[in-house]
Amino acid sequence: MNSTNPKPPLNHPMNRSQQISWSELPPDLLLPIAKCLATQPDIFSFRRVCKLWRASAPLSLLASKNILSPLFPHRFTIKPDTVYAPKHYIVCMNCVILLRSNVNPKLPPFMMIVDEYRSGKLYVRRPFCARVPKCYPSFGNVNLIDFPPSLDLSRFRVSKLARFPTLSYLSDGPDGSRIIQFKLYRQKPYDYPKPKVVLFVDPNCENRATINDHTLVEVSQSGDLIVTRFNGESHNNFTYTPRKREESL
Amino acid sequence: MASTSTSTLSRKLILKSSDGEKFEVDENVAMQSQTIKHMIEDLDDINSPIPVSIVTGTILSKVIEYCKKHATEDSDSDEQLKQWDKEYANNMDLNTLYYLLLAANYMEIKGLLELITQCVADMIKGKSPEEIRAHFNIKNDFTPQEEANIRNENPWAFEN
Repeated sequence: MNSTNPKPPLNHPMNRSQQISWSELPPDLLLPIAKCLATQPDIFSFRRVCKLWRASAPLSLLASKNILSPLFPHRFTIKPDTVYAPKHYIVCMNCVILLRSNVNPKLPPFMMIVDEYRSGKLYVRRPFCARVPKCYPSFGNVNLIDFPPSLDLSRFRVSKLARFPTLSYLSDGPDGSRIIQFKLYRQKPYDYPKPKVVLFVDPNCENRATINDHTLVEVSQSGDLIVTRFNGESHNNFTYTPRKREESL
Repeated sequence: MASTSTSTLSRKLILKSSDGEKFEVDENVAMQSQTIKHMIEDLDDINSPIPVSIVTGTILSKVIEYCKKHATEDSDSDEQLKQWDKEYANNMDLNTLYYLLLAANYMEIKGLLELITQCVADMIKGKSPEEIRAHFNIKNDFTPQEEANIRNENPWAFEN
């Protein structure tokens, strides 16, 4: 395509053989488009397209946007029929990332798993390395020897290798910050099993799926399948016990 | 333009596109556009064509198609209307979307503007800057130095 083609005037009859350049779109129409983007990487990409697009999407748009997924973290509560108290859960998106230093070429590349437990923040729960230090704390960020409390990712080339959801139980209410899971598996803290979960998306909703188009299937320790349907206010779940364990895998 | 309106009370308006094409529409259809609504209020003679100065006939017919669908209340459920909106937007090529966006903005049709805006945002979603430029036919006007600086601002420039 020849970019020196003159742009047709606004009222020009449409010529389908020639594609219009969207760099000419008025800024007051570009901002609403940028506002519709749901994740921080999308907004950064938008700002890197051209000067006009960059000027139309201020960095303030990043506030309150998620990083790994537009829908997660998602908190929900299950109210059982019985006398038991409601249980609170959170589904987080996790990502395996590969980091290669821009600054020090001698630093070997390394991988880690991060999760977005709080919107717009990535937490390192579990480093990807052969030896895991013994000083594993019960909650929160991993306190590795010589591992900085935060990483300046602009000094690295970051590659996304894989993405997967995890489910965690919240012990102290829907807004609780404590993930009870870390307590449950204290005996082998560096080896705790997160429940295996698979998220199914309604295939009819293409790329505009909301949380209500998702179904979460969890394989419990005993091999049961726990299915959670996200459905508006009432998220409900039921347990399915397969006759044979293999059925659930 | 054929009308299927059952109401004999509804007034007809004539919209005239920038290239001279005329469209006869029910008043309640045209009133979806705030711009036209304001023009009608100032109009003495309702029978004279209302000029929609920057919108071509091709685009105006698409705009009217949207307005007709959204003017008839209660005939469809919200779900059906959403589905219709989705198919309507998906059937547009990029050039049509571009002019529809300008037309919806000029004619102040809030629903159409939001629909096209979301549709364009969905196209941007998950794409790298290079892919976005290729998709929307945009020239990269950053110098290599500027590009390097911008890349540093973004911790999430994931390289897949």
